[in-house]
Amino acid sequence: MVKNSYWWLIPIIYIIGGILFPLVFLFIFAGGFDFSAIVENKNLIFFTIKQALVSSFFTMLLGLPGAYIVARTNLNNFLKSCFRIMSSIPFILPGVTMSIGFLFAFGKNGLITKLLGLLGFKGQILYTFAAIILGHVFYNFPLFIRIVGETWEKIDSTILEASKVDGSNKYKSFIYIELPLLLPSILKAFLLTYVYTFTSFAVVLILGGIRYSTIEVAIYMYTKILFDFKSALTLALFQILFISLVSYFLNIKHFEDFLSGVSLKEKFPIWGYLYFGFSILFVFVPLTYSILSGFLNYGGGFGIDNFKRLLNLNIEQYINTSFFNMLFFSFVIPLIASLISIIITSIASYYSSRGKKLDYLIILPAAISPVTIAFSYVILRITPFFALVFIYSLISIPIVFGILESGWRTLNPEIEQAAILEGANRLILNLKIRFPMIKFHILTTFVYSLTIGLGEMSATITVSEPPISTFSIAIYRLLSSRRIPEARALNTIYTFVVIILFSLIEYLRSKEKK
Amino acid sequence: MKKFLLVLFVLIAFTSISSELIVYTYDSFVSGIGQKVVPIFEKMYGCKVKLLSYGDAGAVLSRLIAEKDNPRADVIIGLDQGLLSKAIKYDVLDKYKPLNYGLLKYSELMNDYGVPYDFGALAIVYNKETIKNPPKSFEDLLKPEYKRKIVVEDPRTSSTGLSFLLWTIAVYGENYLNFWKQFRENLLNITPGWDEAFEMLESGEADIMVSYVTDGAYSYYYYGNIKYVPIVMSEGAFVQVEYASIVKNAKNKELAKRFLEFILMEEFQKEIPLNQWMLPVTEIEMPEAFNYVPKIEKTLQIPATIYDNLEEILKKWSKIVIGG
Repeated sequence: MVKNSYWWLIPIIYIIGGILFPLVFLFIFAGGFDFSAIVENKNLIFFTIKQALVSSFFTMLLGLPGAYIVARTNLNNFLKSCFRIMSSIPFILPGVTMSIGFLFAFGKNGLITKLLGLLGFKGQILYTFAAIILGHVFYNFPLFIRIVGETWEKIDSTILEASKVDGSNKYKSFIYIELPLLLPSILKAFLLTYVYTFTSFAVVLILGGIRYSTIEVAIYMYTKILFDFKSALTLALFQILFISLVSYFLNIKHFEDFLSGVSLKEKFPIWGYLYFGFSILFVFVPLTYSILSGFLNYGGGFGIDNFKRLLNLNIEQYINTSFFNMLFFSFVIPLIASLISIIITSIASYYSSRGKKLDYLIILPAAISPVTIAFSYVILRITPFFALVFIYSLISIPIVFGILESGWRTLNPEIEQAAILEGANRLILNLKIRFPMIKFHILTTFVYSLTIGLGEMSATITVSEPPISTFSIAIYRLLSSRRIPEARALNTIYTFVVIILFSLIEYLRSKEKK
Repeated sequence: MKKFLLVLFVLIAFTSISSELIVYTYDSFVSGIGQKVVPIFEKMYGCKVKLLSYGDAGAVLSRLIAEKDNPRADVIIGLDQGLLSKAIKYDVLDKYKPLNYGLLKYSELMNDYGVPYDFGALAIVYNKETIKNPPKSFEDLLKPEYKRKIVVEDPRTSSTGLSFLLWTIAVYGENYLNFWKQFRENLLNITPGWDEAFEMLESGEADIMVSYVTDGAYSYYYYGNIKYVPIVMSEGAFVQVEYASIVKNAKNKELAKRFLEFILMEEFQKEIPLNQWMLPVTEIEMPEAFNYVPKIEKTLQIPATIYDNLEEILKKWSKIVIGG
């Protein structure tokens, strides 16, 4: 019944229509390619490929133990929820806010610099290659916790218990039983991390110091400073093809059947404390500074001065529309986009989990910078509202896909076959059996796609005009008018709104589980 | 005479103008001076003005180029010398000389394709609490005492950074790369934009950054003190001029012309200092805060051809400074 349906064409059409087709117009506008751009930027290209690989590796190193802790230990559920919520926040942080966090944590007078100084470590962390890796781990390790953790939680405890009876120890059963089941999810998280760090811009420039830059920096230069659209498009195309290729090879299509159930919960391990200590130090300290940057007074010290300044400011002047409009569009556009993204991706990931090769196409929206898509929409004269709905839904597809595909894999084929024998049609099968079984995966994707939409800045600025405005536009406008204290305050407010939203979803989730 | 001109404008306005003028500009224009001056213009001509922005001036120019065949905007505000020369090359502007161009204090700023409305200069800004012996010249900037204390913006991603690179070319001519080779040793970081550089100064990470001459005035006006002091290097200032231009094939050309005249009027120019934090181009009384703007004794020029060779310049700069 899967084989003769054509539903899988829907995501393909959506991505080709939303990304590749507009790029054709960009090509016509630019007037062709300029392949010398690739040769000229070869050092930059090599560095980009290399730093993304190293960054992804370290992200995996920190991400996998986190996934284990969330999925397989009997750690307090409240702590798990906090960990999950906090680790989603970096996704919405603008580069400049991230940089505040890192300066206050790792800078000359930073908290961690001082702590490490007490321990005798005097080296410099910022403006090194290590800082780039740190920044990338900061942004991306939640991908492992979410994608791998969500799957790990569904490995049926009975197989592990059975293997114990057969005399296997913990490590053996991890290598021979769990790892093969987890591998597709690990590869998904790795691929996404690779793509996001490949196209990274702010982390490399701000944290890496003066010696490093990526392809994305060159694309920015060609578009915004030199107006050399041919070179920009050529590099963008190179990026797309390269990532498509990586994604094609990082994909394994033959897997053993998944046995889903309730995962075995083990005692919280001793190394878990070490792990928490480490991640608090290197991820949550800078994150806390970023979130609370609104309380860092201009000129030094802590307080609520920035918020007072913000209250005295007529914010409508900055967003060029009413405050209500900003609030409305900030949430409504990401909401619609999330729904579209989840529907489209449900289809794609279902067929992908059943063996159809779609990954190299699905990953494309992450391989191209949102501002390039936005610019091609400007050329096509798509109205701002629809342009943003398209862009937000497209750029969240890769990550939603990563999570959902892992979800589909955890479904037991036997249950489906039983249902079909009982006479269930496809609608009932989807509504009553499939979707309820992966509802946590879906909830997670919802959080992520919403966050991605809410936090998107560059494309939003490129296409928005009154009456459409969003939180991220307001923050950008305050910054560009040098209203630094007010921008910090608004950013903190906005982050808290997002934290509340995530907590609500997390609450629903824990209520469901009981 | 002034009154007569005004009446003349209004008469022209009523006879030949359709009602909505669309102006493309950068973000801070919309949220700042735009709010003050647009209502005045709308009242003068009984029209509507729609200010639209999509990021910085470069982003707006990209959009104008993208819409070249069927332009939506009538006026574009905010192109500086470099962007103006790009816009002319892409043939997206119309020539126009405003009727009241005589009001210009510095007629040499005039361009066939753009009416200057304000100008400013880059400065080196230092934290006076940590730097007791501030640099006074570009040569000073190379001193070992500033080693890893300076942060500049990346010319590949920031217009401030690009202007600073051009400033070094204005000072050193062909030898600017020698300066950068040594200057590199004193740099702590190169940031993608002004905001991140400023945050580095604010957090005490760096002590010196590239910014603008009006920084002190701004800080005095909003925060009542000046912690970060701007200085113009003794070799001379590099002046950035901002232009307003008529878009080629604009639908509302008459009203666009009136707008270009409006920007030279007192109603517009007097809002420049405290909104744009730039210097007006006509004779205007300056607010008190501007006493804290360092005097510009000498200005430096670069040959216009530099703007055509930016790609080559940035490539060489990258090779020396970034190393790739």
